[in-house]
Amino acid sequence: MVGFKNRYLVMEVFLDPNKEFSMDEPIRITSKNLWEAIVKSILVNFGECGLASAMNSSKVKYVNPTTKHVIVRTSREDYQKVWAAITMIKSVGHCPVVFNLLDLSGSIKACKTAALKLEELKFEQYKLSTGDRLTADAHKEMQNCLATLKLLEH
Amino acid sequence: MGFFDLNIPYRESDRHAVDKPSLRGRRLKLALKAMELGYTGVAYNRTLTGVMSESDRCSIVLFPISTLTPSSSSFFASVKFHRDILHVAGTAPFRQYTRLTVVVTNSSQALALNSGNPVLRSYDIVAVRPTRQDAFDQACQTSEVDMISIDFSKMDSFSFRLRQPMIKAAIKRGLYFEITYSDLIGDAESKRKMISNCKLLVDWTRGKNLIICSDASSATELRGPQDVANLFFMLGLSRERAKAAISSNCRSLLANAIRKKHFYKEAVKVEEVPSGGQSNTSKSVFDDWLKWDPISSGQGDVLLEDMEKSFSISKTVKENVKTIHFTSNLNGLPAHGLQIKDLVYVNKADLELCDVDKRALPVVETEGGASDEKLEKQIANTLHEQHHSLLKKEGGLGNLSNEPEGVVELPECQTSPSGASNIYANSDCQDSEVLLGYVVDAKLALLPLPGRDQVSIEVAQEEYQISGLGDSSPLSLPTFSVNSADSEEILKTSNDLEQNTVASETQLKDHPSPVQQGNCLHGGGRVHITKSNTFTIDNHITVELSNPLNKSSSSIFPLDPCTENLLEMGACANEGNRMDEIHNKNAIENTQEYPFASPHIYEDGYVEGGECSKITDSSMKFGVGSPLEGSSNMITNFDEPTTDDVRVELKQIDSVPDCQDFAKSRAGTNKRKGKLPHQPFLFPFKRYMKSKPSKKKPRK
Repeated sequence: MVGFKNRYLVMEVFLDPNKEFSMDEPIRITSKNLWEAIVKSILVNFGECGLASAMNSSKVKYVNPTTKHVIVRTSREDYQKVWAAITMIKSVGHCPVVFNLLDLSGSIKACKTAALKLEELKFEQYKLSTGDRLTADAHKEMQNCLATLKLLEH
Repeated sequence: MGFFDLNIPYRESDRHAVDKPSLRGRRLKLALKAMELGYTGVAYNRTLTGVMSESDRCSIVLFPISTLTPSSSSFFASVKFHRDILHVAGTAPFRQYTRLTVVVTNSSQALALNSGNPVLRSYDIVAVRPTRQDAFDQACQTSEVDMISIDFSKMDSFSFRLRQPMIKAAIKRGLYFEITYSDLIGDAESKRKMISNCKLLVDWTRGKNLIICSDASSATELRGPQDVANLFFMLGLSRERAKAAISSNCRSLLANAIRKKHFYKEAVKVEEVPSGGQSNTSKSVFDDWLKWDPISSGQGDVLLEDMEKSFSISKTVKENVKTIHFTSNLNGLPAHGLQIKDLVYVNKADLELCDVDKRALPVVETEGGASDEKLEKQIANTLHEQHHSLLKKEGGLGNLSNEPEGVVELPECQTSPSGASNIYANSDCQDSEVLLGYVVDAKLALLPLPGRDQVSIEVAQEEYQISGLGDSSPLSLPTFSVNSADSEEILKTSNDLEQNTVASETQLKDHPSPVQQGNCLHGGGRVHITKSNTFTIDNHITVELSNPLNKSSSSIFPLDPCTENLLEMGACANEGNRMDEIHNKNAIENTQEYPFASPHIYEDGYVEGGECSKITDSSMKFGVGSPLEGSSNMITNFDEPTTDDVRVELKQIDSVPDCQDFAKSRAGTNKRKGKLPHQPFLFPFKRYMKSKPSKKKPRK
């Protein structure tokens, strides 16, 4: 039996929604700066104890800078807190962001299948929006990310 | 269930507002962002403090389609993406409303919030924001508003206290309480205050009559619906209630508010129908009933597909469509307008349009200007709406013919009254209104009836009747091949008819031996349909029918059963509207409709070969019913190649059997082998159609 019960949140990040769409992305999201933002938010909203109890079981599992999808794992007891804290994040670094939950699942398997599907859809949109400026790098990066996604483990 | 964000600040009318274009731009961005996140409705909120004056009437400009153009084409994909995730229908329109929040500080100001206030009436939703105890009490108990909005971050222990009996009284009266979540995303101080103050409200209402809004001043403060629901779950609401607070509560608030605004005493709606296009009014009025959209504000509903089209298709498309006008007038308020949703661009060039739209679009009568063809199509379209289920998929359509001119064939329309809706065309409707005609024809059975032995004409007839007036186009194409006609023959006959209609007198191609004589009319031979550009069918019918058809038909076919059938059909077909028309037509149609009655009737006659009477447009209305109309509408373009006709014919043919079933299963039992899933309002006046003597109950 699995001892740890987790929740996997698949979220997407909108970077700087106020700006007109342009290709220069203000920042590049990585698991590190996202994690910092989440920690800060939990600290502000739920305090030291909240952070302490949530921190141990929470982790940013996967980040795709192209499609801006993020997978965060949390424990089942704290996922609502962490989710609320993520919702209340106003900025990552200096860039205002908006988080939006796409999928919430209890197992890594369900999370992977959902995330793969969402990634593909999102990548289509990305291609539409970038149009001609799509580079081969973006494709490659996308492939890498998908590969890591498939290898995700709890 | 859609998600609504009923508080998007509107600051452009503020007295000290500067830089209006940027404010507008910000509001536009907010609306677009909300749409992208999956919301299906927003309300632009204007805050008024102090005394209201006439100048405070609603001047909020709802963004029409032309303005709501996003910056990139991936927007639409993104919207669909989010809507799928949230399980919101992709075709649900994006609605915009206007809202007013009146800040009330003393009870004398609160007195102004009564139902007689004209300024309040000009907004869709009215909210009150009390800042003191007495104002709050009055708001809960007597003010005629839709909701009470409290600024929790500014509320402190001195301003007022929430008291449970007041809250209970307000809920009983049907008021909603609004909580805005922008403070939660703001700074620590406002967050703290907001949570501590609204916790009480949340506990007491327990989610009932609670509405959550954003009051976001910029796009960074908007959050998706599920995130918002989770935020409030943290505050103490249960999950279901939290979700309901952004969806179903909003929806019922809107339904109530719109009803109050548009209906006199919340029951009677008064509409003013324009004087043009008189003959179509009766039809359209009844169409309205069936397609009433309870939460539409009349303007500002935007269909996603239309936005897409306007984004990608050039403006020329719009020029081809004529607006249809209805004005609904209630105390001088703007018409309950054109629901921009359900627009269809009728355009020759855009065949692909038919693929895009998946709903039936009601047709609104065109007011002048519209070419007859289009008009008819549109009318037919409206009529057909209910019959779409009868008709086969339009897949066949594509196969069979080229797109007839200007007809947009939409694939199946769902006919649930609440869903499809909107019939109203608004003369006020703003630009993009192109309206549309709608599908219908597509449905008409284009499929070549494989293996179908019997095609009942009745369906066609039904359709025909439905299309009712306005079709000068020769709906006719009676297709009825009746027993054992094979599809080919039907096709041919339909071809025949079609070709005839095309005002060319070419003998139809190997016009098969009148497709079993059973075939009515065209079985015989040529049927000439002359183009006529009149609206009313009746004229034609009478005139035309005096033609050979009459003589042949009347002698041949017993009228009574036909009549009876027709009546039935008429009843069926008619969505309750066209009683008059049907009656009018009956006489005329009887002669023509013989085929409908029963197959065997045909054996005797059909219009003699060679002599197919020249039947002008209207006369061709052999009760092929609306599907025919649709086709005929298409046919009105008399230059169209035969294929169109064929298609139409097929449609008709296809629809016919359904009609026949219909006739059989009179009493509203709509079990037609799953063809008609649900047609709730199809025969509301059926009993009026049957001219049976009223039963007299024995008195005791």
